[in-house]
Amino acid sequence: MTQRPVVQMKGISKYFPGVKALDDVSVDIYPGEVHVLIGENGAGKSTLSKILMGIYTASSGEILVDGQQVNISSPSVARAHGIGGVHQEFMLVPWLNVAQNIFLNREPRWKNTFLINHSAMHRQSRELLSSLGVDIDTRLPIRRLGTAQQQMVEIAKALEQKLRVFILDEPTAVLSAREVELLFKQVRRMKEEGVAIVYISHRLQEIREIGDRVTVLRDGKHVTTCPLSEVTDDELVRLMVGRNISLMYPRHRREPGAEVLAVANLCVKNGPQNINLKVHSGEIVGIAGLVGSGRTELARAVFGIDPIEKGEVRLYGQPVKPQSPNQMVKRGMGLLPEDRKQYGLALRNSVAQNTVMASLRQRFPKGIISERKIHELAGTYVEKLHIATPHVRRTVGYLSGGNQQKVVLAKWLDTESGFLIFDEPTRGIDVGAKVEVHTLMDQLVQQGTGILMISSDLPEVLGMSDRIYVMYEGRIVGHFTHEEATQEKVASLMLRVGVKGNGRAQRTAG
Amino acid sequence: MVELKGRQVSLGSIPPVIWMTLFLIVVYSIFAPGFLSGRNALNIAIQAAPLFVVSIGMTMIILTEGIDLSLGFVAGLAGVVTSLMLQAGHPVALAILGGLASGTLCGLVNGFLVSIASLPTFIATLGVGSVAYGIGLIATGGRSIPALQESFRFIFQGSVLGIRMPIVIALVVFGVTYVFMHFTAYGRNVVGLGGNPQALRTAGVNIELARLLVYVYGGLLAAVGGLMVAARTASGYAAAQEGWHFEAIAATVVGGTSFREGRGRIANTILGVLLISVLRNGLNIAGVHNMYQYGLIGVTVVTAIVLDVLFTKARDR
Repeated sequence: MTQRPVVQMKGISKYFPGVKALDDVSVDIYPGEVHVLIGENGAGKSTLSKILMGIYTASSGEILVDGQQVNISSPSVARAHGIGGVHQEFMLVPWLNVAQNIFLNREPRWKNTFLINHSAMHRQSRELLSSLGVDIDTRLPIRRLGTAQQQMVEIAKALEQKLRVFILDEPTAVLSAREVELLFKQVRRMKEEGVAIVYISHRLQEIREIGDRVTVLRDGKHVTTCPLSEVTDDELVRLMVGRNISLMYPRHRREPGAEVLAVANLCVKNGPQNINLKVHSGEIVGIAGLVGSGRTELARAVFGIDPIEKGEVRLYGQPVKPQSPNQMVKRGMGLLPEDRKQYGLALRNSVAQNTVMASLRQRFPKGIISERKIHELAGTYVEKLHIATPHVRRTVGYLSGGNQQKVVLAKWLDTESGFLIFDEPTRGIDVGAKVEVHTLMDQLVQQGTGILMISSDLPEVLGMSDRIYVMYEGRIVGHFTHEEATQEKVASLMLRVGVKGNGRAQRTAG
Repeated sequence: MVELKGRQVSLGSIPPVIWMTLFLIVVYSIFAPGFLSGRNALNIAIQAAPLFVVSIGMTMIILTEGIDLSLGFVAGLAGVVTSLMLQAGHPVALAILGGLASGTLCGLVNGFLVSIASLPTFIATLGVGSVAYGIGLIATGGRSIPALQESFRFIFQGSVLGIRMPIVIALVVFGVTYVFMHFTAYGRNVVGLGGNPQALRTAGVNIELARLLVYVYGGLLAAVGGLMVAARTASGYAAAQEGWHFEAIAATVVGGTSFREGRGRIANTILGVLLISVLRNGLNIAGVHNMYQYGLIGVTVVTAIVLDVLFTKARDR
């Protein structure tokens, strides 16, 4: 690398109350490289990227842009230096339309006025989106879009800014394979134009495909920076976690027991149609499919969130009509939702309060709550699930993604439900936490729980499931046992490869 | 389905607030003689105008996920300030500026407390409203101050080219606000503050200033509304519009603006204001005592909101 780095971070530290998020981290970023940041959750990757973007300011250390020391005190300063990007939390305004969001605070004006030129804004937005290969109506409010589409709008918004340093913080967590491919095409194009790309991801495979150099962070400290070609996956994992962990899926297979859930001919309006499936005690049943294939909608209907149009549901052999989550929890069902921040946790409440959220009545049948008992109880889960938190009174919102997910898990463990739905249980959490979640799932089924697992991570579906259903456009299009299933078989059904479709597959993915 | 300008409009897509207004019009036409006339329609428009002006400010504040419980008292204070200045012999233009300035100042204090001092909007505006009311009472000794100058009354109540000034003022305020909301960065900020202020901040918007300005504008519009009423009653009185925050909030919410995520639009608030104004006017014509009116307005407003919630749910399904 003969060029001068576009950004140099020297000795960056960042303290939050009670936590040292970054400790003396130095990284140089060169133009025309994809610089990958990896590390476990809580390692400081997002904090580092937020400091670059001006969302946080560093407690100490300095940042140089083009060799000049700068003080990135706010996002607008960062942008003035050509630094920006996409973070994990969507920076979109729900009731503004797609074009307004893409051009947020950079709206094209009519000549010599302060009035926004809507037609130019929509035209340019359409061009940007089509360069990304997606077809979204720019007049729709963001609220009406799915998560993947919102992510594409975020990316379009960043592209529009013509950045010199483009930060992507786990951009692919919610995207389908096709959209990831489109994104990577853009990333490669930008790289050729000399843009420096900072890429944060947990997916090793993806990093291999796109990355040039890698910086590993662990517990807020810089571990190493080197070209990706010089490290193996196993080495990367070891550097990240500081110990050897197995990348294998920890499963102990057993004979399935009695039926816990049976769904027959289930239909949801504008959602899954004619669904038939069964889950038994002691087995993990996986559902594979693209984003938008109706998997989450199926889970929501069975859990009583969305109304069921027709069909039957049996829980522990008893027919039930799911009408509310409240009723289903009482009957012994739990759901770890896809979007844990919105549906899984009360982010401003403590770890302890979240842990007993679903089991309070069970724990205190008389209706009188003992704070001390709740804290003790939460303490046992913190220990058992290795939840990294200074104490159980800590606000859940301050924990890292993996630890938040463990708190959701603790909440359902405490209800002692015999049937749990896991919707994307390991999305956006690091390798170490992922293995821990998988181990827990295995322990649960050993004890006789039945699990229905929705996942977009194909190796996870294949590795963890005893049986696999494949969904496509709201229908179940395939069923495999663990022994029959291969990556090729499941993926080709998911994508309907070789089936002459009506073009809807593409739309679902876009 | 009805064909309208080539667009398919189903009857079910008409919001409930329109149905309720139509229902009231039919009922009043039968039971309140004199209700159904061109003159009364004009009357309703004139009576609705001040509330509409105030409700525009309220709608913008609610879009930012805030609320302003001071607007009624701020309006009252503006009427008092202008009346006192007229009484003291100041020129009309100066007296009007004084009234408007008092409202703007109250809005500035609201905005400062909410945006800079980060107080909950509820508490901040409740406090400012109480102070505004108190000042109005002290300044007037609790009496109503006459404001009889013809030119003052003409500006807020007269007519130009056969159109009554309250209607002109309401339309101008609406027009200006509409352009600001839809064609300027400021309007986009208002919607964004309610939806995702962090998104605005990362896009480089000074969100504190943007939030402050919404309250300033709300205070100014409250003063305009207060002066319209002062001109109609030819007097300034501190408690003249004490029920206005309720009516303005009700008009906003009935019009379909949500307290969350910046969902809604100022144009819809016209519908809410119309419902309340028609209801009021009909009750007055039918001779229903003021005592009963509060309860009936409350019931109507809550019914309209419940219907709107059910309607929105059914439509989004």
